[in-house]
Amino acid sequence: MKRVSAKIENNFLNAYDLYSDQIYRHCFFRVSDEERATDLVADTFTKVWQYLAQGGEIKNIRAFLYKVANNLIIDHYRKKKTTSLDQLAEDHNFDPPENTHEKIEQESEIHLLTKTLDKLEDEYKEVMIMRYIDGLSIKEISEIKEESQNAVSVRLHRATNKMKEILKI
Amino acid sequence: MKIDLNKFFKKSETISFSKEKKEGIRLKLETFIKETPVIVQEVASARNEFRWFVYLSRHTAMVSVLFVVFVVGSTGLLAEGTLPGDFLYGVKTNINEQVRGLFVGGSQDRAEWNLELAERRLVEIGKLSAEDRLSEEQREELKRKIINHTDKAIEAVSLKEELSGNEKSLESRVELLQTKKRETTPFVEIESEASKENLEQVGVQNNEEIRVRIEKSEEKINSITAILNNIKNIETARVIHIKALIIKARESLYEARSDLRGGDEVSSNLENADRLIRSAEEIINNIPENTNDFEIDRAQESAVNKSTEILKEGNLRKRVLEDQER
Repeated sequence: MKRVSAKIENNFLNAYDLYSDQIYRHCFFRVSDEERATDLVADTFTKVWQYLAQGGEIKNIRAFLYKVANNLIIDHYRKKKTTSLDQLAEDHNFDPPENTHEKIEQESEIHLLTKTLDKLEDEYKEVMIMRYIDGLSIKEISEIKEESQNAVSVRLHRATNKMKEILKI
Repeated sequence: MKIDLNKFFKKSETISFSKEKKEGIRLKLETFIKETPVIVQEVASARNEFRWFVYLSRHTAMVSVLFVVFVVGSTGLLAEGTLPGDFLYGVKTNINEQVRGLFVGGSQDRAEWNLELAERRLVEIGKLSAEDRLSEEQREELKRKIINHTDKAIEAVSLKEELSGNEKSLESRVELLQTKKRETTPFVEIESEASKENLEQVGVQNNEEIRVRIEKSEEKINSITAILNNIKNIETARVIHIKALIIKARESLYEARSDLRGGDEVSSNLENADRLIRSAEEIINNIPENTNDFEIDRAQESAVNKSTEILKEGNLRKRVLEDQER
């Protein structure tokens, strides 16, 4: 029994090492707040562990992590604790690059990206982040969202058009 | 400005966790994991199920034997509640009872076992009667078995000689046993002597034991008497039912005759009489045969004759009336 428990612990920590960056990125672009994104990552993994500790079974840990993170983000929006993007830019923990010309340009592009995404409706923003930032397939998104692949594809198509419209491409 | 979406999103890859924060959360998670260990009950139970499977597959022979025992046992158990004519009745009488009989030893136990068998057959007669599916053959067969079992029980309580000089009918058995019951003192003496002799042969001379044996014998006699009386009651109820049918048939016949002889509306009366006679005939024909009751058999014969006679009379009168009308 101890061996089984140790194996589950080991798998869980491996999953953290492997996916925590992706989950963080997802959370960051969803909530546009680095601190909140960090908290969401910690909460996501804590909740997943609680589920495992109670004997729950997970077939696809990556999809499950996104699902949990997604629910927590929804909760976050319900609480309406958003912070401005300006504060984000000022945040020192934002992996601040050295103020080289290249880094400044990169930062401004990220700024543009988050701003553009913020202009999208949440349902469009969510699928765009999952598809283009998290690199999830349509099938994976449909599993996380518990929707049909067709519904996800349609939404993604609309979101892309909307984004092009915003960016005036 | 033309922006490639893929390139546009590519920039997002620069966003990542700071190493300190990532390590910080990892440490917190490790602590949390220690505080909240995994409940591995389900895994353990799944393993247990697997162990059962392994155990069963390794002991195929034993499992097969257990399976056969289970099937035979449950069939035997199911057969216990069956009645003559049921699918598993043969299992009940030819296997269950025969096997149990093999384990019965000693005269008292044998008497008791035979009484139980007689009682079982009696219960079967009662149930079949109540369900209205007791055929003549079944009744005769069960009756024969009851007599057979009571004979064995009687034999076991040392009354064989008393019975040997009598006609082997149910009535004679009941009478014999009732007489024995009424004559308590001589009966006890006979039994006492018989028991005493038996006991002396095996070296036991204890009056208390003799008394107990006699009491047990008396109990058996009472049981046998009760069984035989029950059979008699069933027989009596059947005879009463048949007699009632005959009375009904007779009433119909007399009513028919009265219709034929009286009134001006001869045609309608004749029609009515004809119907009554048919009804009487139907009742008589449905009375079971071989009733072993002389009175019933005679009444049945007489009723049939009477109906034939009345019908003839009626048809003759009908023809006369029709001629007159012409």
